[in-house]
Amino acid sequence: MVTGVDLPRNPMLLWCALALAEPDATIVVEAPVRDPQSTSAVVTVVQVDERLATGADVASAVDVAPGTTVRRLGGLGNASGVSVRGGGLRQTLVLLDGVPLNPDGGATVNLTELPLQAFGSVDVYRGGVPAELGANAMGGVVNLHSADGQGPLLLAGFGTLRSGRLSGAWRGAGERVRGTVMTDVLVSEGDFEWFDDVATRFNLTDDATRVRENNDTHQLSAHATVTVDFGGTTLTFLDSMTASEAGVPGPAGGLTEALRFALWRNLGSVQLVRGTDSSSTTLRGWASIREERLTDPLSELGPSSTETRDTAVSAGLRAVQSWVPSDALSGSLVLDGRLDSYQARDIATSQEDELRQRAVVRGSMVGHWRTDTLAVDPTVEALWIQSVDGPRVALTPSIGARLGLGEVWSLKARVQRTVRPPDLLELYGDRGAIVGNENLKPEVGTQVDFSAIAAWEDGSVEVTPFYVVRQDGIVYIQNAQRTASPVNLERTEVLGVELFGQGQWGPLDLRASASFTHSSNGSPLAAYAGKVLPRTPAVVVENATGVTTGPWRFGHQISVSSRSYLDPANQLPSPSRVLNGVFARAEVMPSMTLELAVSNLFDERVQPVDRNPLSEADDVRVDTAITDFTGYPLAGRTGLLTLRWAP
Amino acid sequence: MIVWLLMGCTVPVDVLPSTIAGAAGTATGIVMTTTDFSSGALAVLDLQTGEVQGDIAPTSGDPFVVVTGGRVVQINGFLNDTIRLYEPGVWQEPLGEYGVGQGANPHDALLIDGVLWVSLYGRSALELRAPETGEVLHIVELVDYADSDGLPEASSMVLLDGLVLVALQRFDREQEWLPLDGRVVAIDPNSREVVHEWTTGTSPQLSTSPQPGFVWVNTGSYDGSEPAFDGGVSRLSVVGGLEPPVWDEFERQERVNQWVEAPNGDVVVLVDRGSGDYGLYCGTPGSWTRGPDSDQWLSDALVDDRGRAFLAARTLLGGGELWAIDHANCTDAGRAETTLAPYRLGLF
Repeated sequence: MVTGVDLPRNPMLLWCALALAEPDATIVVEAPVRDPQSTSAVVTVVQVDERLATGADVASAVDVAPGTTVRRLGGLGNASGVSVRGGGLRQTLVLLDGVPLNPDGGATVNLTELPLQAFGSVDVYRGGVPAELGANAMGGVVNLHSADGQGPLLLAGFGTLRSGRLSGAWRGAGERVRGTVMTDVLVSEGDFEWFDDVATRFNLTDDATRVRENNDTHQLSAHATVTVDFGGTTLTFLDSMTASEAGVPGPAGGLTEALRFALWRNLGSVQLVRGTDSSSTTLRGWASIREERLTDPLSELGPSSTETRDTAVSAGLRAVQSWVPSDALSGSLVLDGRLDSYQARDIATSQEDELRQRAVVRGSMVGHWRTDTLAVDPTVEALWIQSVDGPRVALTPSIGARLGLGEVWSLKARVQRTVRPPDLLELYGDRGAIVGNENLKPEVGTQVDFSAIAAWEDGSVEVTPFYVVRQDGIVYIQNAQRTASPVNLERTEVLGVELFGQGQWGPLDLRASASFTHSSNGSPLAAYAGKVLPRTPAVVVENATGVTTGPWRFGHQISVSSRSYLDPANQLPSPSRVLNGVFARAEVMPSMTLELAVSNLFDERVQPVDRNPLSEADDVRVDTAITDFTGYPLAGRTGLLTLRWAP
Repeated sequence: MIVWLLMGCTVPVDVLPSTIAGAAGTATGIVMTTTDFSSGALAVLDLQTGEVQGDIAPTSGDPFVVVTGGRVVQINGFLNDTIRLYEPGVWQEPLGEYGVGQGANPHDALLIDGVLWVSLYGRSALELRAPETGEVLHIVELVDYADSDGLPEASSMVLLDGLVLVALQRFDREQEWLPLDGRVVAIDPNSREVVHEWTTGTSPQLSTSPQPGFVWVNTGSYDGSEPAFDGGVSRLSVVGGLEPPVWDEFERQERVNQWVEAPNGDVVVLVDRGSGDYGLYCGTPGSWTRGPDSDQWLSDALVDDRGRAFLAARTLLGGGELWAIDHANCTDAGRAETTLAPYRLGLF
């Protein structure tokens, strides 16, 4: 029931910066250490190599890691984000070569903005994160490393849903200079068929298969990195840009016709690293701008502005001084600060809101003590946040340890305090039906990890029990005038165990992960207390198997998720699902491969659910659309034919 | 299905104190929608026992409920656009359920002579549907009363002297939902033609009066999230038209959220004073008794035939209670928590 003002039911608008990449104790001037065995943090390193489908996206790579739940708003080209261990999308920090796209996990990063082929590997930190990464993100860190290589790369693909992708890259590595420049164009009409029950579960006569409308995507991305080595000193330039325009079709049961979202963002950084055998200094400056334009000509988000443009700009500096006085002892001092600014404009009325600014400063002291078998990494960190009622200071200490047990086995443990300052949209946002709250406190949390790892030449297995508690979580609450405003309310606990294994046996390779979680909402509200966290399935299993024989490679992926809920009151169950994908790739010419990838192989679009999930007495089950964890229906079987040329 | 009543599968959420169990009346219960605007549910209060039964069936996050023509109509509004029809007290399965079209945003329903009149905030016309199948039988076009955006924003409907009165709220969506002067139109259910129209203040709502020949018109808008205090409450009769206001929001600096008249003539008024300050009054125009104040949004009210008023009270944080009020004294007669906060109420 809407009267004069109303709420956007799906505040998906929350899509929207300085770190070193080295998770290891020793700061090395060269490429960051990526061996998860060498750090006390729980991290999964996903290599972007032939094991993944050529047409795969960043979300697919992240999904390989246990503890992650990728949310997609449909199919190819549609927006996607990642939740780690039941955290919110905004709580996951995404880094490009260590440079944050969303500082402190401030806003949600749409992983579809990033072309996977620009990257050589993806580190997924699920628990505590080393301070050298410049963050103690509440919901883990996804750190994408730019790809190395030589020569040109051309990638062209087209597929169902009138989708196409064209990528071109130049990669070079000379004696002193190396770099990659890549551009990527992605288009998709997204017009897949889906099962629409018209949100009338008691009426099966109106169920129908419909074509997804207002789901097209047009995106241009560019990613460039250049490193110059001056002998003991390196200078690295990074720039990443995305421009996109897309329909926002709305979830099943809340469809839209004309809601559009356009984005332009750019992240640039310059990093200087100077090192000797016993010390290194790193200086980095960076800046990002993000402009989001929302067009709602039919007021489908409610009686807010029909066209808004929000601009967020962040710029920061980071300095790290590391010392390695002995083999057993090393340490770092980390200092970074940034200035965030945000301004909203109403295009329809030419009204410009006040420019909002906020400063955040972080300082860390990191110690590393290690013997042949034991490594201990204590960190003391302080965060200073400018806020309307004076500065806020938060201490976020952590300690981690790794114990080597011979050549194969190792154990890890880590405890970390985490903080996420509210982002500027949460503080100052004004999008009609969403209004910020200047008095928000930072979210705080504690992560506890234990991990047992066995690693050998061709594989590894890992078992990681964990516990996460998050307090003062920011949630949007609607007031009497149906304006949603954020408040510090949420308290959540997640207890679970993650399994990961990978190996290669001759032509066969396998990568599998499983996550078993028990989540609990500690909200003071009776409706939510003790309930399972929304969009957090208790069981997630991912498996990717591949066979390489001669010029051929065949791959299969299976993704299993147990039932989850779309809402915090657990009244809207999202059915469990099993999805399969396959690809076949052949080297058709030297340096040229052709691949056919099929997602959702068995065209799973419908699942039976309880007609009335609130009644134990009603055992009637009815069909409903398979949706991802946001209520957006998933595409059925889709195919993508991709040609890759990399001489 | 939902056999909580008939098969004893009840899990009572709360029970209102027996002090509110008054003299016998003919109404048997209150059906309510509860919601956090993310998801919702249907719940019921048994007026005999005071027992509140929550979570009967899920609804959308924008659920409304109307009791009309001996049926419970559960409306799912903004972005949901569906209607369920229940026989009161029988919640296992609705008599009918259907969509009314993407973006239609149904607001109210009236069951008249076997035809369900549905007001649609996102359309320029009323739809007259077969109540159980949802088949569209007739359209009553109201585009002549729309502002420049083409939509008159048809909202509440009541019956008066055999005519269907419809409140047209007339927000101009092309000017940031600017509230314009409203209209009330009277439609002859036989000819389905508009036979009378009246200009009102902004954002009119209609509520019935037990006094024959009159209905109440409540107007007033919001400035951002705060009341604009630009409206009031007046009586309307087909013959005499709109009378001078008996409640002036500007004068009182209190916006009327709901205005409900009991069979004995007592009126219960839910008010919004701004800045999260809510309250209620009981009495008659000119002779008000102030009831409990609240920091909870009082979103809906109704009166039963036992001298009680029931209020849906919602906290800012999403929790809520169903309040019972002795409207003769305007005093608290008991409160019951519901799983999700109550939003709209209907008496059956």
